[in-house]
Amino acid sequence: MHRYIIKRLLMLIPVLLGVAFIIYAIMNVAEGDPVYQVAGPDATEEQLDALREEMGLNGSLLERYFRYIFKLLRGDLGTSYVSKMDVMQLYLQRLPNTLKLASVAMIVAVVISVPLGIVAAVNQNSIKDTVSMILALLGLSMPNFWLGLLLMLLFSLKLGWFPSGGAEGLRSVVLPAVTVGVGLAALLTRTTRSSMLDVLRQDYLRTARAKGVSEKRVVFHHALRNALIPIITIFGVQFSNVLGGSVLAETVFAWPGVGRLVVDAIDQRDIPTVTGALIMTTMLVTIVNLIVDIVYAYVDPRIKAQYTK
Amino acid sequence: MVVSGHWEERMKKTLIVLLALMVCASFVFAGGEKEAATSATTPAAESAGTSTAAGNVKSGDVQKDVKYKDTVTIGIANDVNNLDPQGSNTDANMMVFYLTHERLVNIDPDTNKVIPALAKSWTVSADGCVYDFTLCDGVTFTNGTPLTAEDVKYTYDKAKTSSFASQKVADVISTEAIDDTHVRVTLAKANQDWLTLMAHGGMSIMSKAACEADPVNGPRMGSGMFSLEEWVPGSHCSFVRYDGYRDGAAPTRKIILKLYKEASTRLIALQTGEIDVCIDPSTTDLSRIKADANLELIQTPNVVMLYMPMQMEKPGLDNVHVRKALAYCMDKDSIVFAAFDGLATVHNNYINRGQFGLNENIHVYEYNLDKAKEELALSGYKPGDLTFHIMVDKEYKKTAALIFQDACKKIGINIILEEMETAALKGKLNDAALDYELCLYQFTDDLGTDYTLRNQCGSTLQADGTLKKNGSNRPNMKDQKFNEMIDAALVETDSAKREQMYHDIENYLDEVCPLVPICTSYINIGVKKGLVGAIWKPDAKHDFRFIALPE
Repeated sequence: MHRYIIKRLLMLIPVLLGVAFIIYAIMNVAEGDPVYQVAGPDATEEQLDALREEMGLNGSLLERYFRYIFKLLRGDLGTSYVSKMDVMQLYLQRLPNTLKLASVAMIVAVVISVPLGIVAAVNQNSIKDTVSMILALLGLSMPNFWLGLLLMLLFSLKLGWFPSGGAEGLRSVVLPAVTVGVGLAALLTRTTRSSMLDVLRQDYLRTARAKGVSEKRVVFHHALRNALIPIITIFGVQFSNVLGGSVLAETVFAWPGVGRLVVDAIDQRDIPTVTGALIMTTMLVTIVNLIVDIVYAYVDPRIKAQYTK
Repeated sequence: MVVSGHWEERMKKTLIVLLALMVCASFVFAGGEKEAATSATTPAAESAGTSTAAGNVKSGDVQKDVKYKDTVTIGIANDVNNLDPQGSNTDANMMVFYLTHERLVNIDPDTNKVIPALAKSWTVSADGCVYDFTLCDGVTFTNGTPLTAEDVKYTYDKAKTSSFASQKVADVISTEAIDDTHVRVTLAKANQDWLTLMAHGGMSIMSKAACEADPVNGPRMGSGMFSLEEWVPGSHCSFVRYDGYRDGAAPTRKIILKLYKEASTRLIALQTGEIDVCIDPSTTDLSRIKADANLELIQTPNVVMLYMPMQMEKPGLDNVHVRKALAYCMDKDSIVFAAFDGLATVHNNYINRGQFGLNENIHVYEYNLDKAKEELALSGYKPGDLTFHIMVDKEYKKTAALIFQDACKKIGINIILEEMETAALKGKLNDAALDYELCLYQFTDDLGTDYTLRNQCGSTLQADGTLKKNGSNRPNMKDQKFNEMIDAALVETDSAKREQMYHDIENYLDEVCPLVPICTSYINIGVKKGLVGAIWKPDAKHDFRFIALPE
């Protein structure tokens, strides 16, 4: 198991190198010279040249890329072209907000989706099943900026229960988390339902029932545990997505997260910030995937045995 | 499980009721109230100000016997992204420098005249080239260290190397610290607008010692009424009152600039009381502010001029008759109506609204397709010969471009819209290749007539005898006659003569037709009722030093 984890961690290195190169290449072909975003309107040719040198924009794409990689190896993500702040500092300022939003949104999603999916599966083709699936469809198809504004109008403006924006205190996370969580819950509900349906048809559950095991125990102890693998997979994928930033929800709720950091930096051609933030996010996503794989092993001993091999 | 027909029926009914309830709820919560018709309104409040002994401009009525809130929170639309006065020139950053820093002089918002600030007085030599400033007594930076003439010299020298400030000090030959409170600035030539440029946020005086000790954080400290408390990019920026300020402390202890990118959220935050000021609410939401008894809508005409530069070296656009034909196709009234909800004023001048020398009797390129056809015929091009690309970056500009495209089509000029994000558009405009034809862009600075004309259409004579366009000269106009005309106007000391010279310059530009001025819009601000002290500036770089909200 340990060897497996170390192997996966080592695989992170080529992934990060690849990601860094792709971002560099994309930013290189994007329209607009970054030096003109940073320089003022009065910049002379000499100032532009000096700035280009200072920003590390001289040389070919590969030269710039390798310069960046050498700095990255020393833990230096560079300095923002716009704010002149250390990119790592900028990212770390936003990361706790993103982690907070992602975690609470995932909790909201799980609390909604798992019971709903189980109810739908256990009561397949009943009104409960149909209502559950319609709710899931609604969650999936509702634009989250629209839902966010509706929640804000109701719970901030009309009832005054939660703040409309910002990231101060626990109350501020509720509305953005519900907005993001409802969207995530939709897919999780459908996955839980279909996974549970697969398992509920298995012979061993019929045997369990025949042996007199209660229906509650059959569903929650025997069926749910075996249905968890696809649910955990989807959970992991969704958690990774939210870690990359929920730009719309962050914008609507003035939530200073990583998503908005990246989008704003793209707008301003702030290459060090875009590259640094995406590399850090890639690292986080890879770690989340690794954790998901480790959780598989604890949920299903057969997978653990495979890792050990 | 078998579902009976009875259950199916009930299920259908339940679902219909549920869906109906959700739709109703969405209308209720989305604010089903009828929108009041919007129209071009007269500004409710223009900035009003009085000067203090030290020359600082106050606005509104901050009264001693009224108890004000400890903290005022201002919802801003664009992030504060750089705290070096010479490191950027965005509106949001400039609002910060009015709080934290001071300049030698200020501009009176009522009269648009230069008034004292850090410099309590100054004299100008007979030839208009030497300025001797006397600094106020007892000026200190917010860390308590004294501000001296050396700091002024340091700031002005540093500005020479800044790509954001160098043009403002381009005429400065030297800055000398005579003693602690006396500074002499020598210009290469007389410049009637030079003091106006010195009032710009980019010329805020910084501490030499702080900047040399810490080049990143040093520039953030000034001698203003507030000092920076916390800056979280993408979230907020907070400032606390500097109690050692020489001219008396500010009425509010703490000011927070909080970023709300989404206009609807910003307004809801104002309505819920999370913020006290909402800068730039959506024009479709203005009726909500008017309808709210706790809020007040402030509307003031701005100097943000929307215009269409025509890259004069591009084939077709190098022909003055083609440029004039395009100018006659610009339906400014329709643009104001459709792109600005009527909240804008048609602008026909090259000089910005409210600036010295604006020619009220300038020839106007009114929307006239017959005249456009005549000009096209004079150009030698036939209908269908010409196709131009126009770059736009915002929805309102797209609307304006569509109106223009439709008009041009009627005279046989094909216009292709190129939508792009702001950064890409700025990149194309600034790129040395100048690979663009038409664009909808805005000129936002209010730094005097010369600055406006020189930046928009001016060029500089190079050693090899060629002309190089100035930074913001989007039409790429290279015209030595124009350069000489603005140079002559800049040094003219007789005000009446100078005014006439600017009239002549505008007439000349009208003949050359390098760009089409379109309109200036309004600045909209939602505030809590009773809020006083803010100076709402037409260039959107508002001054919050004296802002106060009664408890």
